[in-house]
Amino acid sequence: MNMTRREFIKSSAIAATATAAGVTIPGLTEALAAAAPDKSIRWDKGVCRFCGVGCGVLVGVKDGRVVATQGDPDAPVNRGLLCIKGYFLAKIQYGKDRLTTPLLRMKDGKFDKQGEFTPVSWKQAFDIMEEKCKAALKAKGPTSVGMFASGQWTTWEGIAAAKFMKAGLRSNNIDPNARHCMASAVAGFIRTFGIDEPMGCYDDLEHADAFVLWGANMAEMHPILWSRLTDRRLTAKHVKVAVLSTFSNRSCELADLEVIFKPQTDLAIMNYICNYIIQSGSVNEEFVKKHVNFMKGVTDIGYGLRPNHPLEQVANNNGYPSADGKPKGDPNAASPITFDEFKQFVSEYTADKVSELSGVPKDKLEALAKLYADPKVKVTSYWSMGFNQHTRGTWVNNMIYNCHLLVGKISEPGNGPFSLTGQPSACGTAREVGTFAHRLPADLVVMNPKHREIAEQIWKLPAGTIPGQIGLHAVAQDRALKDGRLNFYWTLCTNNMQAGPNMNQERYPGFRNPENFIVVSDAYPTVTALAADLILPAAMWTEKEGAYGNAERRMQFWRQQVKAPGEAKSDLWQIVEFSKRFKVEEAWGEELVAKMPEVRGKTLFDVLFANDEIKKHSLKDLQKGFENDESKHFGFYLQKGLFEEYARFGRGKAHDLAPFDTHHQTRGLRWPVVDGKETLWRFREGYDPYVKKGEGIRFYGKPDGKAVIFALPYQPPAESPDAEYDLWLSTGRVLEHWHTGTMTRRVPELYRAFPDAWVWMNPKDAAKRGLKRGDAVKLVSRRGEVVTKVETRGRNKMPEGMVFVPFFDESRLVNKLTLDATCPISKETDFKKCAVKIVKA
Amino acid sequence: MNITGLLVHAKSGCAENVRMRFAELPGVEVHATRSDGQLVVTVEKNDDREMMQTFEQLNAIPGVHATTLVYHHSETLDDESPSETENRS
Repeated sequence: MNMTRREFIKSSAIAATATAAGVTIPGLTEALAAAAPDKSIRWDKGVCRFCGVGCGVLVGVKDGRVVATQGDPDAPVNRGLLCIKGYFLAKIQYGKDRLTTPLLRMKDGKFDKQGEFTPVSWKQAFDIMEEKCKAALKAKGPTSVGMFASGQWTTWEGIAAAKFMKAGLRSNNIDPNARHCMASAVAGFIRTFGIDEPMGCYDDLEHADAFVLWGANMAEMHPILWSRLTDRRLTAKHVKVAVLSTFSNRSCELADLEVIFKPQTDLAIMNYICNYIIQSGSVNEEFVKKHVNFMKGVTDIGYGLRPNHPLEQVANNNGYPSADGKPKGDPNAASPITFDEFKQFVSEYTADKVSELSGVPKDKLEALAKLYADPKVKVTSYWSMGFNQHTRGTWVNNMIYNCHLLVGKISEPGNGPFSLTGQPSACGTAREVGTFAHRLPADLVVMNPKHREIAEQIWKLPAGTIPGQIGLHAVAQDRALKDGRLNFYWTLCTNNMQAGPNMNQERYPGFRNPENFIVVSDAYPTVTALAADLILPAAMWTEKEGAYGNAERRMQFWRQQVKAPGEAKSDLWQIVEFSKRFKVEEAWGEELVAKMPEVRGKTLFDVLFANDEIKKHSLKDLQKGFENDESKHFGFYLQKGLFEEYARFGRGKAHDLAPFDTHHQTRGLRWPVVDGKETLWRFREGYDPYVKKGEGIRFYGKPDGKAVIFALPYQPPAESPDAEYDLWLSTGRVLEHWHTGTMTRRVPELYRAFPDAWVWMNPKDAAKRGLKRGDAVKLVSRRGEVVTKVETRGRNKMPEGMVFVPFFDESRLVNKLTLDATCPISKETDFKKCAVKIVKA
Repeated sequence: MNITGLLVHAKSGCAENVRMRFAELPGVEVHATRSDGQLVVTVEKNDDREMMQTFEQLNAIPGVHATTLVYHHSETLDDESPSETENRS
C-alpha cells in the first residue's frame, strides 16, 4: 500500500492514541504494517523535562534532531499519556534565541560591569570566573562564594555541584530553587518522620475512596495524575473528591466538596479536623499508642524577614542573633506533651470558631473532617505550593500528618499523605543529593560531625574538609548579595530573578552590586541571565545523558539523544571543567593538604572527579549507539562514576538506589530498591524491606520508630490587606506554561495562545474600582508595581478581596510585588499571601 | 507540519455531541469513540500557535473533561517550505 509520509505520520499518531485508549481501529494496523517501516526515526525512552510527576516519554530523533515525542506506553507513571505541555518537548531545544556561546559584559575589550554582552571563548569565560572566584576567596574566604542550584538538574549535575562547593571550595553556600518549592515539605518530613520524601506512591490513585487536595490545583499543574484521579472518581462511584483552595480553580470542577477558605486559615481547619476526630471518638487508639509521640512546637518564630523588620524584633524564637550575639531561641524547637494535652490544645478549634475564621460553612468543615474520621474511608491527601509556600509551611506539613496519624491512615494502598513536586528532580537531585545549604546526600546534614565524616570517607577527603556551618539559603543569598557579603555567585538551570520573591528590593540590586560577579548558565537569555555579568550557554534535556527522581521516589534515566548547538555545554561539563582551575592547596589551604600530602599539586578536578572510584568506569561502558559528550571529553564514564559513588551514601540506609545500568534498562524504580525490588509503601511490613517481620509499622526515620503529632496553632500571615493595600495577592502557575516560561514561551508566536499574565479578580472587586474585563491596571504593593490587564472570567474564580497573577510572563514580573517572608523553619518563601492595591493604569 | 494524537475524555453521555463539535474544527479528526466517552483524535496544523489554540478550543467545548496528548510529530516535509514556526535554529 502506498502511503505518503504525511499519511504515515498521521496513521502512527492514530495508532499510538488508539492504543492508549485501548481501542482497535479496523485496518489501521494492517495499513501501517504494509507501509515501509520508517527507519529514519530512532526512538528511545526518556523523561519529561517539565514537572515533578515524571512522565515517561518516547523521543524520536531524525537527522540529529528531536522531531517526535510520544507518551511512553510502558511507563507506569503516565501509561502512554502526556499533558499538553508535552507538545513543547519536541520544540524546547530549538528556540531561535538558544545561547550558543559564552557572553561577557565588556567595554573596550575588557570585562566591565556596565558593559555590553560580548561573545567570548570558554577559555576567556573561565579565566574571568577564576579571577573573580579566587579574589573573593582570598579577600573574605569560602563564605563569599556561592551557587544557586536547581531541581531541574540531572542527578549527577547535583552531585558534581555539591562536591565542588562543599568539598572543593569548602562553602556550604549552595542552595536550590527547590527551596522556593519543596523546603517546607522536607522540613515537615524530617520533623514528623525523621526521613525525607513520601511514604506512598502514585498507586494510591487507584486505591483511595477519597482524595483531598490542599492547595494543589492538580487539574492544571499535575494533569496526568489528575487524569488518573478522574478515572478513579468516574469508575468507582463511591469515591469523593474534596478541593481546598483560596479561590475556585479548574480542579473544583470535579469536586464533590469545594472548600474555599481565607488565606492562612488552613492551619485552623486542620486543627478543627483533629478536634473533630477526637471528639467523635474516631482516634485509632492502638495505632497512636504504638506508633506516635506528641510534641508541642515553639510558636513565637517570626516570619523569616530581615532581622531589623518589626515582626522579627518582637519574635523571641526566630533564631536570629540577639543583642548579646546569642541566637534568640530556635524556631524548630518542640517539647513532649501527652495525648490529653494535645486534645486540650485542639479543643479550642471548634466548628463555630474555625468557620468564622476561615469563611467556610460549618457543614462543609464537618463533611471534610468525616473523610478523615470515618474508618471505612481510605483517604489520600495531596498538596503542593499552597502548603509549601507558606510562612507556616513546615507547620502545615506537620499538621496534615497529624490528621492521618490520629486515625492511622498512612503507609498503605489508598491511605496516605502525599506531597506533590513542582520540578522534575526536586526529589532526585535537590533533596536526595542534598544541594541545600544544610544537606549532604541521603538525608545527612552538614551540622552533624558524624555525617560530615561519612561524606569525607566516601568522597576520600581529609577529615575536616566539609564546613559544619550551614550555608546561605535562597533568600539569605539574595540579601548577602545586596549587602556585599556574597561576591562570587553562579546560578545554573533556573530563572530565579523572575521566580524568586521581592526582586526589586533584594535580588536585582544584589546582582548589580559592583562588589559582586554574577555567572548564569542557561540555554536561553532569561531575565536572570540578562541580569548577570557572564552568561554560559547550557546543553539541555536530551542533549545530555540524564537522571531525574520524581515525587514518588522513582529514579529514571535517559540517554543523550542529540548534540547541543554551537558551544553550549551541559552544567555537568561546566562545573567539572571549571574545577580544573583550582589547585588543591589554593582551595583547601595548607593545614588540610598536610593531612593528605599526596594531593599536593593536583587540581580539584583530580581529587573530586577523576579519583579512582569514579575513573574506574571506563568509556567501554557507555550506552551503545548514543553520544556522551562529557564522558568523551573527560575520558571516563563520568555520569556512572558519580552516580555509583553517590549511591554508596544510601545503600543499606533505607535510601537504596538500584545499580546505574539497571536504571538505563527500566522505566525507573522507586527507592529503597533492595534485592532488585522497589518499595511502593514505606514504613509498613510486607511492603518495606526495612520493616522487620512482626513490627507491623515502624517509622524508622526516628530512633524509637514513632512519628510525631505536633500541637501548633493558627497564626496570621506576615502581611494582610489593610485600608490602603486592600487585596490579597496570590501568585502561581497555569497549565499551558511551565514556571517562568523559559521553555514554553520560546516558540515564536506561540505564547499568544495564552498571551499574558493577567490579574484574575472578582467582578465585584473590579466594579468597585470602576474596572471591567480587559482594562489596563496597575498592581501596587509596598515593594513595587506591575501593569497588566483585568480578567474576571475563565478558569479561576476569585472570591472578593483576593486576586491571582501567574508568574510565567517575563513582561509582567509579579515578583516585584511579593514579600520575601519565609517559613522560619524551612526558609521557603510565601508567594501566596501579600497585600496589594489595584488602580486604573 | 505538526500532527498530534490526543485522547479526549468526554463526560458520560456527551461523547456524540463532543464528536460533532470537534468535526467542525479545521484540522481536527475523530477516529474512534469509546462507549465510556473517550475519543481518539488527531489535530494537524502547521502553526504552533494554531495548535495550542485548537487545544484550548477542544477543552472549552461543553462535556470535555480533559485533553491529554499521546503523540506529536514535528517535521518539515518535502512538499512544504520551512515555516516560521518550524523554528529551525
